[in-house]
Amino acid sequence: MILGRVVGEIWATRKHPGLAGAKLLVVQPHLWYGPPFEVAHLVAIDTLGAGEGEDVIVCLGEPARKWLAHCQGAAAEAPAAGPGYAGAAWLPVEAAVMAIVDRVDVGAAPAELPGQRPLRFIGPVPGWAAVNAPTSPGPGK
Amino acid sequence: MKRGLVVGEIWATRKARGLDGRQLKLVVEYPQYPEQPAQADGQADGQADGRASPPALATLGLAPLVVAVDTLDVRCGQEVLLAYGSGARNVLVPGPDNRYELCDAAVALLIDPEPEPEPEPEPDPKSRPEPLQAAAPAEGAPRSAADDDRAPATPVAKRGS
Amino acid sequence: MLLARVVGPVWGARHAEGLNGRKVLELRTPQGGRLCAVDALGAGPGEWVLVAHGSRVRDLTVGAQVAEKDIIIAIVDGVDSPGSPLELPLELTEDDDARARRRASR
Repeated sequence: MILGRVVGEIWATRKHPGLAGAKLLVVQPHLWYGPPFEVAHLVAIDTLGAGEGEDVIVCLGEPARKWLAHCQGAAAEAPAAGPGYAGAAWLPVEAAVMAIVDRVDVGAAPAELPGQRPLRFIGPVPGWAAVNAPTSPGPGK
Repeated sequence: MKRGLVVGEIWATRKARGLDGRQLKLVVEYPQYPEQPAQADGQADGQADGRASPPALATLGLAPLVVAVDTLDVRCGQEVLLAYGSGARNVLVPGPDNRYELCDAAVALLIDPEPEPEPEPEPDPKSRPEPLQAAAPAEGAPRSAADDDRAPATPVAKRGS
Repeated sequence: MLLARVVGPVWGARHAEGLNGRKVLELRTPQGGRLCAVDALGAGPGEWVLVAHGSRVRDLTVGAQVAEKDIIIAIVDGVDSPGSPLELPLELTEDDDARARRRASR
């Protein structure tokens, strides 16, 4: 899962009909386990009403679609797709906001724990990362 | 789907049964675009006709190498598009029943080479005005600057020959 | 999903059956990442699009036969980021009037 900050919203009229009514948020990732290449922003569907400037958790793949199907509830009907899609979401999306972060504690200094690697942030280190880890010189770059 | 350059071919006699009869090519993925951001004036990053420009060959040194199954019989030096995962399986067997194809990277498309620019038409010697002081140079006479302005006696070699 | 800009189309006469009749566009992310995606919406060069990756997205949009997992699912009209400006060209952001009109029509 990806920890990031909402920095904007996207408007699009020409899109897949499955995206109709979906709010698309631009998320600037702080921590991403394996971005495909240098990525500064990713787009996720908003299910919890995240506002700009809030830190969110974004999930990719099938869990995101299952969560979206759960949010939409019985209002959405699955089209006549092939077998194997029963119960799964039919939205052509791969990223959704799963949680809005209240607080992040970057705990003990990474150098003190054996085998621990420091956090590597994508882009500028957010404010809460430096405040909550006073003893370490700073997690990541 | 990544764009890449075919740099080699792989031969293997001892391999898994699912790879029997499959050609394997060595492909270099094209690296990222250089650091300058996308242009803000609405112009595409590609060339004038909208095609994407290939990267400089010097940047391919550290680009990832991929072994891809080849069904299109591509040659070294050709640009291709690589498909991964289920997309690669769809190259071998299109459709949802290809779960057991032994492939996770395949050549999906051979990119058309850019059309060569047309060679300039030869200047017609009859249409050029003869300079006043020019005279047909004698055989073996040293070439002078005036001779270079004339149309060459032999046709210019066409590009690519 | 990723935001990317269309650089141009990729033409290839010889291709797998899975790409028959499909238009492939070369895209570029704002950080310089390079990828190619199948387009079913008719995006032109220089337009910003949303690209999704995955076999499920591919099955739902263009069908299970396509030899590609990166699909363009939307063409972006504008990006709204009043507080923290994105590193995108200015032509992509909307002004306050259009933003208010869109909010009112939701």
